[in-house]
Amino acid sequence: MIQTQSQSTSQLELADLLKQLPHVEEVQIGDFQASSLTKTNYYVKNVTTGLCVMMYDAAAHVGGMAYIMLPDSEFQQTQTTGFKKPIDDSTFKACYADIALPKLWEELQRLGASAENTQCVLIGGSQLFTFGGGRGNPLNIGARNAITARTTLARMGLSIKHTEVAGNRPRHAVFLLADGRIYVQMKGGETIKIV
Amino acid sequence: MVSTAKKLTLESISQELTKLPSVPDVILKLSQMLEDSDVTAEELGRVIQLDPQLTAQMLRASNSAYYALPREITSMKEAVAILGQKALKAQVYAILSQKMLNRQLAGYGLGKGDLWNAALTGAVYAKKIATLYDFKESDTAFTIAVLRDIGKLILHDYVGDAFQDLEAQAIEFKQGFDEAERQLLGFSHSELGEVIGKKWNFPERMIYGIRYHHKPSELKEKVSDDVFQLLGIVHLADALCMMMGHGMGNDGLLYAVDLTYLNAHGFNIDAYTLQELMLHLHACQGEIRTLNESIK
Repeated sequence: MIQTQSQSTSQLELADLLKQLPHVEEVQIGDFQASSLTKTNYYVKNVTTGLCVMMYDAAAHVGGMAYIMLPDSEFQQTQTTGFKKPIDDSTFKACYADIALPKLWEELQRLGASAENTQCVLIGGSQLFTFGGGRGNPLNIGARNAITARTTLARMGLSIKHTEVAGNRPRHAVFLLADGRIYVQMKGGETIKIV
Repeated sequence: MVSTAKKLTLESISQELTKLPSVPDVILKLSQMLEDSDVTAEELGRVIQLDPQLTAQMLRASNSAYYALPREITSMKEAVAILGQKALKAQVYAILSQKMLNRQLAGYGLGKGDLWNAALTGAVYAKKIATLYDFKESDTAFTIAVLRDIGKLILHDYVGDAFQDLEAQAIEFKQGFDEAERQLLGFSHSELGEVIGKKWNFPERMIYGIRYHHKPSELKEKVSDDVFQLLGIVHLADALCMMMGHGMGNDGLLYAVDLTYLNAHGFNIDAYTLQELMLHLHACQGEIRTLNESIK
């Protein structure tokens, strides 16, 4: 049986929660999933510089999760790096925040979601330390992912209910579409019910 | 910082080395033979066949989709002739790594399979990065990366109790978890990796790669430019592995990337290059799954 909302979160281990859930889909980096089935539960593990964005419409009971890797597709398309082998764009369904989030939102709208009832949660966006590199930090992808996600969500008229971003540890999350609950665990730390 | 962490000594390391899982003699013999460019396919095939399990593993790996060969290989002599000595060496070290690293290391918060996943992913990434930068020794980059964290096999027992102190130290000085290990426990997992590499007679450049994978600029020996580049490739592959969330322990992203070193050795890491590298590496996931299945 799934634990109730009133139960102390400190008693709950994410691994135990996953065992209790009958239907869990793991979302991989560069991918997104959306569903109107309330039995669906999404799981994401080891989110580091990537960003996991969860959207939930409490009225329509539809939700989805995107696990983005990079912030801005246009930024990348304006540059050349000199690597010989071209990248096959078709491999990447949802690597970029500015592509993945509109796609996920389009899918949720198709399932009946509306902007006024939908709220978003962001987790991830952590970062490695850096030595050198001069002005700017090319490794600050985590922070840039969070900024681009916020900007993109605002442009789509969606509000953010909660964020768990930055830091140096990986995060895991479980998202229950039955009622929109979200549990987040910082690797090695306590599981917290954030929504 | 005052810490009560239990420290490693040279004596305790000697004791810890005896507790490591044993490595099949055939693998140790092979790793040495594969350093000799004059060794023949017949000689290698003969040694591999002394271990039926290894023979079966290597034949299965050779015939996997990872190598995409046009016809089936039925003998190790044939595998050596078709795949070449360097690819075979990478395969031997991957099998060794799987045997050693596919276990739980509670001190680092690594479940069974996590360290092996990070090892294999980092190895494939290192090979890909080497190819993208036109570095000829892509298989050597693979062999170093697949065993880069082997020192964690010894250190995990010491890390567990001291984790909070280590984390605090790493964050306070932003020098990385490995530096905190060195300061609070006496040795870092990279240094212990070097000790293990020497015990097993790994080639010199492999030992350098393991020892300096977090801090390549600490290599002060006179070595060729190739070695400096190899270190850069493994350092970068390790960082990208963490950034893309593979096989993470509680030490997470508590490591430093040395952009000064990387850029001094021709990697030109700016935001565009880094993002494009991540896309190339993301496209390797199928390759990693195939290789993992073939080695199991």
